[in-house]
Amino acid sequence: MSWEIFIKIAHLVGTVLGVGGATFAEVFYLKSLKSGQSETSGDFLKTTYRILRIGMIILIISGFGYLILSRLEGHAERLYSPRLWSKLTVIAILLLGVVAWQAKKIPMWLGSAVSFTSWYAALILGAWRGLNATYLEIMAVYFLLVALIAVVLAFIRKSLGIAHPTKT
Amino acid sequence: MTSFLQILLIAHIIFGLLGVIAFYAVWMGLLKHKPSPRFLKFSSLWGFIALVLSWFTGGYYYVAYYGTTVKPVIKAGGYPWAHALFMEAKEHVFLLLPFLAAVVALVIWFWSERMETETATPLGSGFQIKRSLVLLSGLITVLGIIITLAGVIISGAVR
Amino acid sequence: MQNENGKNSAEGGSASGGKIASSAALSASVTVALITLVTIIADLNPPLKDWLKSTFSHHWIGKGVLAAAIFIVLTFLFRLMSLKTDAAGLSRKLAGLFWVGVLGALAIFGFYFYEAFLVG
Repeated sequence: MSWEIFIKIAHLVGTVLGVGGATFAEVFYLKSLKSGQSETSGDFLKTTYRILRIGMIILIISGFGYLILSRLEGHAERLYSPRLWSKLTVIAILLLGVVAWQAKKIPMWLGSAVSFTSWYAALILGAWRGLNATYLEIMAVYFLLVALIAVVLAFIRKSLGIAHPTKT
Repeated sequence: MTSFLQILLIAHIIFGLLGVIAFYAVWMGLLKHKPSPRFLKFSSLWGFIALVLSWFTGGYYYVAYYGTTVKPVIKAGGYPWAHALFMEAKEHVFLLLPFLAAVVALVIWFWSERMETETATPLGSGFQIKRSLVLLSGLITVLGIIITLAGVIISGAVR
Repeated sequence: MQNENGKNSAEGGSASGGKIASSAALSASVTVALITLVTIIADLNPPLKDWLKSTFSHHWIGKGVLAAAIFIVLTFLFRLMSLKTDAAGLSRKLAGLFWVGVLGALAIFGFYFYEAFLVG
């Protein structure tokens, strides 16, 4: 097995854990709100967050594994790709957004939208080889999607009859 | 590049990532309503060790190889600012991290239980220490992320 | 727990450990400030950079070695001076270290931005 294959498998495993974890975190969060529990209580949700974090760590290490390979094998130009830098930016926004939510600087609905959109945006950017767009174009679409997902999630919460707990 | 230098470069990057991840975990851990002293001690200590290892492995690569072989390529290429700004800034800002990390680890090791008991009062001294540690671990994390991204820029200019 | 003045004495959980942590916080501020100053001055003053290179074989190694030595020496020096190690004092030192770190990083980035794009 070459290093490239190993890194690819690791990156896919990280994606499964991370994107899957983010998806189920949203589902369990809605379920816990609907059942009247506090926002992040519940074993399922806590376990899901843990799996999500493990996925993120695997993704970061394997992601940089890709970059190291590119550097060492003479493909340094890949490190300046707009698609790569958009992905790095999205991941940075995700990580800082989680901190902001943990510090109660942003409301759950916004943290939720940023997290959900960021995970899927990173997945799509990683998979979309040959994407012909500039960094600014990709980021503009990303921010629009964050807003769109926030609206969609709010609609889903409303249709499920879930009232947001007031921010304490 | 010899295999030894390749291993050093890889080790520098991986240890650096582990250090930043560890201090991100410290940052998040401190923001919890009830921080876990055991988790904070573990993360801060290993984060400090990882940053020191990244320092030494990167330093050897930098002194033994980068200056004589990589820097001229970057400066002669299409992105000379990758060295002039990003490498110069990175190699010096990185020097701050082990000392910031050492202080965060020391304070956590000797004060984490006190923070737990004194967090109840928002203006209590334990809370003030915790707040300062949040700022410091956040600073280490953010600087670590910036330094990592600078490394990507530098490596991308080697052509 | 109150001291003889009736005030809360918020000493560290381990008295000597608390003193080391407090001393380290102060010495780290000095170290970070010195790294920043030496970095900028050495680039503007070639004899300093040459001295670092001749003494330590490379200017960057010199900065690292000096920083580590200053940090360790000052930590023990401040520890011997028995500086205040109450929680309030420690939080002030940590806050000071944060700001020195921020300003130091900004100064280094700013200096090299200036050197890379605005000089010559």
